[in-house]
Amino acid sequence: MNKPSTDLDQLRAVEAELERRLFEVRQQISHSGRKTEQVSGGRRRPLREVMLDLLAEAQVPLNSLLIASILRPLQGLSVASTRFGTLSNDEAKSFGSSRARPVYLCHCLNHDDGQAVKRFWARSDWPISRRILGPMSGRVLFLQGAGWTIELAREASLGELPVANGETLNFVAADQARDAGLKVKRGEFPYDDWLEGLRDLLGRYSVEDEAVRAAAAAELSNQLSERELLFGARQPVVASLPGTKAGWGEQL
Amino acid sequence: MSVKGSTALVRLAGNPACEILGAMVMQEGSERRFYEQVVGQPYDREFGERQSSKRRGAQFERNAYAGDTRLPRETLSPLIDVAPDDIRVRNLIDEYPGTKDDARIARLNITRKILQTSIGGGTFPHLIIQPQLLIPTSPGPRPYFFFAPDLLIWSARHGCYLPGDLKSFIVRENEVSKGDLARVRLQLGAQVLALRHEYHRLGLMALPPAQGVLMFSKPNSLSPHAPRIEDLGGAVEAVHIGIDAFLRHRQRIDALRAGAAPHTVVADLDPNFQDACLASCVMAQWCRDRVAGRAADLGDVASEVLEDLPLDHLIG
Repeated sequence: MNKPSTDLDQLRAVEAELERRLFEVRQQISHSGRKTEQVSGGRRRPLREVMLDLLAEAQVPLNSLLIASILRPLQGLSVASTRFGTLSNDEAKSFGSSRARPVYLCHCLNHDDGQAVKRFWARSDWPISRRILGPMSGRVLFLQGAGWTIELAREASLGELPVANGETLNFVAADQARDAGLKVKRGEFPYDDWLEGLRDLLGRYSVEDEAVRAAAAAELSNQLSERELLFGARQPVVASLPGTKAGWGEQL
Repeated sequence: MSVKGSTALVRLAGNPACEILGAMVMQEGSERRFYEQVVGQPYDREFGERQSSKRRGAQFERNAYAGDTRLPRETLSPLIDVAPDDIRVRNLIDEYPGTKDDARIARLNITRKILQTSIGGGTFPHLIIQPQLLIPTSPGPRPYFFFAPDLLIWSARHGCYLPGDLKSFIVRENEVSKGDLARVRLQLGAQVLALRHEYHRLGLMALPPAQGVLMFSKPNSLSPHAPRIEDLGGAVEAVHIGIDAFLRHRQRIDALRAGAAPHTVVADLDPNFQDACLASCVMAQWCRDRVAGRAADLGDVASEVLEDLPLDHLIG
């Protein structure tokens, strides 16, 4: 009776191995041919793959809004805000299917309760601590995302990175610098100064933030299932909405 | 204008005697749909906020929330009594984006948890972006109203949060036109009341003061001006009156409609036509026709002086 299930297990293992290999090959194709393929308007790749690549390059969780504003100048892609919601649902569904994927797009988790922060995207192959948001992580991730954007704009300006629209990418980078409180002048793009400024700002928060994340990661990995660690702890049920306490009517 | 959430209560607070407005708030669907159902024709006049105003408002909010809410952190730092760099921000729209009820309920859950933490002495954010609150009106149709202030701001002086709203009106020296200010004060008043409800359910004896924070746009840019703290005693009282009016209208309409949709009984309801209705309500002309030939047709002042006198008596 065990034989069929053993065969099935073997087949699943082979399938997973092939998926992993396919993913690696796709990544290599993506790294070598991505720029020419996309800039020249070649076949559009699935948003899922595009985002996995972006996150692999950035190496930090990215906000949907930043991703949407970067993808247009970088790859000529415009993504509707609702697309991220369906992507999140699809990814969570695919986690439950029998075909395991080598890597999943997932969300960052709140440090105190493990709830998903849906606008912050991460990769499942990152350590959990990198996917946790502490009280100051919003600012840290904004600064890291801004740094990554400015770095992309710098590379594009040096001709090291072919992009769909370098000028727009410069403006997105300048917006990020301005939002961080750095000095921005019309028509000037001092990438190195901006990066230096961001490093200074990051230095104020990163040590404490990393400590909070590491502690939360240790705690949440004991509390949450594998699925919850990717897509967030279950929402608590609201037993009674409005949830009013006796005596409220007297206040009115 | 909308007939949902805080806008519904703000409108009821402005015209508590209007039963037509009560029926509109009770009815499912949009205000224009209500008009169509009553009049039998589509509403063909100008309706809703101008696109340019919406875009300006959206851009102002985007600017304010950018950089982990950098500009409000800088302007609100004295109120919070924490340096801008040390202010903790939690953006609930990042955690659960969307405007549907499931997203609102998720954000309400998070807001309640944060309020609980702030009372319990844990680590809590000084600024909550897009929190969710509610005011109960149960039992009955429309058992609660959702409220979404732009911000909840920790007030070091009061030891509790205060609601805050971002308004992209063009102002100079933080002075706003009276009409605009009256409306946003009522809006803030409703938010104060909803915040008091949340604190009350947590068993807090001292409820938040009747104060709120308004942040207008600078005249020469879309960045926030210095915050303006409003005393809202009168506005909170007006919203109380609006809620009482809604409960009263709902009871009467429920008795009349016997399970049918509220629009089916409008002919039996009492409108209260005012000058301001013409700028804010799709039913204004319909209500005005109901007072044609009487003093109310001449405007608020005539209505106040002459009450319900027929115009024929004045002329004759």
